[in-house]
Amino acid sequence: MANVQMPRLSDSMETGKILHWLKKEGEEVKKGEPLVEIESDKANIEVEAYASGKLSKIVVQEGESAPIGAVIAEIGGAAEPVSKAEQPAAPKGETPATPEGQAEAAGPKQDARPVSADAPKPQATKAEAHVAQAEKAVAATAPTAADAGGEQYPHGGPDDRTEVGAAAQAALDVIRRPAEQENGERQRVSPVARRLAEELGVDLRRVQGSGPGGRIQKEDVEAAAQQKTQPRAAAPAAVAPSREARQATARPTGEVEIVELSKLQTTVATRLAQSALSAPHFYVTSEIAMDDAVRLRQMFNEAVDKSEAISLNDLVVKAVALALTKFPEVNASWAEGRIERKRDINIGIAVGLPDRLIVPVLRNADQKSLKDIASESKQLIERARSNKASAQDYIGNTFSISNLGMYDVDQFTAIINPPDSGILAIGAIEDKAVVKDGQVVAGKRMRVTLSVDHRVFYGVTAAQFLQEVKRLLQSPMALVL
Amino acid sequence: MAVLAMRDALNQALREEMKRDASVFLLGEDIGLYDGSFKVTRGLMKEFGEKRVLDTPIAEEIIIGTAIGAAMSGLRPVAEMMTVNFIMVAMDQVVNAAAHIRYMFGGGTKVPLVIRTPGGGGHQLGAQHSHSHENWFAHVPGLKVVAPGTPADAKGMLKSAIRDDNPVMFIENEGTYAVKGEVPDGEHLVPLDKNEVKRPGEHITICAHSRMLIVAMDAAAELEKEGISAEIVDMRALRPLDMAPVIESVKKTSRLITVEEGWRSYGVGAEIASRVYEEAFDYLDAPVARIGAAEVPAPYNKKLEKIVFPGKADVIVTAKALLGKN
Repeated sequence: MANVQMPRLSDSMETGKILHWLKKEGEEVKKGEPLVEIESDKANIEVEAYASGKLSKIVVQEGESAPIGAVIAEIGGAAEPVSKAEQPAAPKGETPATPEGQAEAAGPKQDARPVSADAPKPQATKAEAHVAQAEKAVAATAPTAADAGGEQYPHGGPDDRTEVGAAAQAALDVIRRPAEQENGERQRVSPVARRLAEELGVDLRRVQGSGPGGRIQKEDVEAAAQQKTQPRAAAPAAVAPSREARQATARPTGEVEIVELSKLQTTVATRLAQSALSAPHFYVTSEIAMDDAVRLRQMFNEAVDKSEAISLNDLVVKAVALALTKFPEVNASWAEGRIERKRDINIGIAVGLPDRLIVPVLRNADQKSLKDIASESKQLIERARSNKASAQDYIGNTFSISNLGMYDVDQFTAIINPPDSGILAIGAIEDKAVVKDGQVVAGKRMRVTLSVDHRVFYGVTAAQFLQEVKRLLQSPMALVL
Repeated sequence: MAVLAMRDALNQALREEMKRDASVFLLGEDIGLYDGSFKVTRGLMKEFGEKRVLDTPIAEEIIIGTAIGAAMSGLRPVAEMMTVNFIMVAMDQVVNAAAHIRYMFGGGTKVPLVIRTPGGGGHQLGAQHSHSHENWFAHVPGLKVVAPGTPADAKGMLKSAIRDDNPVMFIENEGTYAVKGEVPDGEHLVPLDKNEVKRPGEHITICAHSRMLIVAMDAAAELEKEGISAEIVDMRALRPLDMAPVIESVKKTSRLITVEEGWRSYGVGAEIASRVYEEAFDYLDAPVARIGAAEVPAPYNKKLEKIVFPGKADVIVTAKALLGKN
């Protein structure tokens, strides 16, 4: 039997919501077949079965959420499996084989590990050696599967247990217990993480490991300790509320209608609050003469096919990307007391939809032509609007742009989109009377405001960076080269 | 400070010690008229004469045996073995005699002997000329074993080795003789029992000696570009093995890679890893990773030979894997 566990679908995901089960209980499932659609904090993703067999039990129902690693369903072999929670108390002298034991002994090995397929096999440890030894003892002392009259109990049927077998099984249970988490997965913890957790009073069962194979490492414990001391903006619910409870809260009470948030909305809310509260923001505003940029765009669009037309936003993306190549200190993140400068320049483009705010990421924008930027961002935004974007589309941003110019907004300030340290808020282009060489003339002006994480870079850098963006947009030929 | 190739730094050390102490003499195959197979002894026969620079027959056991007798009689011989692979025939002299005599005579006699010898591969010399056997000697109490990776250390450690009253295995590497570096002029002594951090770093500790020190430094420079800061500890002192800088470094970085040009099994890295488990287990964030040569006799074929010995890419890949960044 194999447990299906809530997979980790993005770096920031903590819980996932089951949208649809694509198989019914009792139906046959083949390894690799789509099994369930899950909503992560970033996108809706179809997850494939990692084992073949019968979908014997759906543990987490549609509409409900579960944390990463939690068992959401069970795929059994021919025999009807018994889930750990439902396992009846064994009568005296009997020791039902654990689900793990069954999985290990029953014919071809099924992968009972979480769906995060990159987890390598745990290395043999002393404890595991003991387990292996105890298992050998169980196998040696218990009757064979054939003797027990069925394949279901490869370590010996419940009626055929010998006392020696039971003792060995008990020994195995004792050895296994300390190394196991509630979900039966062995938790991998590095020695230094274990020592640090003890020193800092961190409960390792609540820590998600970021090391190879999910090993909990020093920095995971440090992060957990830090979270403990800082109240979190929004702690994920440990247990998803039942469907009844959710329906009850969705009903209007008095004058107030309570709106349940989607995972994505929750993520946006959490991250924006975290950013606004933890990153010391400051703002720099400048007005940019867009006459040449507007003219260039017209000329460009007259020269190309309509499908290849570029927007003013594309010009800004390119200008920002080029400016970032000169200011690596802006293309950086605050990373717990240090600064991480990124080599790639990936521009997040904030897209507001009626029910959502999403920021698809345009990768290596500094190396792309205007035409490529235009077509790629068109595709990205389209995928985002139609809810077809993958989690990959939303990660890796190093700087973001938010444009409300199309809504006649003159000027606004944006909240930094983590892990960036800056975001450029773009206002509308206005026809203005400007003074040029002592004469009042008509000019096109656009106000932009740079929001800056003051921990990562300072006012002068912000001003110089903005100056470079301005220079590029005011002499836009540089953007076409 | 002059910039010297490793072979010239060694030559300088020999010349300075021979000038300083008349009891220092050299013996070995082709070290006089031919200036040494790797030209480390260039010009010394001309300068100090045939009595102090002895060309010997191809008879390794006799070279070491003669040197041990001379050392016990009050001279300070520096014996050259053309490559470390050839010492096998003189192993009885090295282990049973040189390493143990002082102990067996209750300190009544001493063996101030230096055996200089290059190891390492990469020159298409086949399986009988291409190996690193530091660990064979580092296993034996009574011997001191050093393997410098920079010209400055080569000079400073060779001078210290010649002045030491115990037999010292001074292991060089054929791949480093042309490597250049700054070498202090004149009296420059480097202790035989002190390892050293050659590059400070934060995320991962890499232990390496001899030519692998250069490989590790190159890898660290590359890793730096990817935001991984590696601390390099030069394991030039293999016996007695100075673990202090390693332990200190692992306590800081929590991760360790050992790199050696020899085979991993029962090797230098195995010893370092084991000591780290004993002394710094609670500071580790990942299992110690050991990098060494493929466990085959070194091939003659150039392409195969290149695959067999560890290189920069192995260090980079291993470091990233340990950090979960592959």
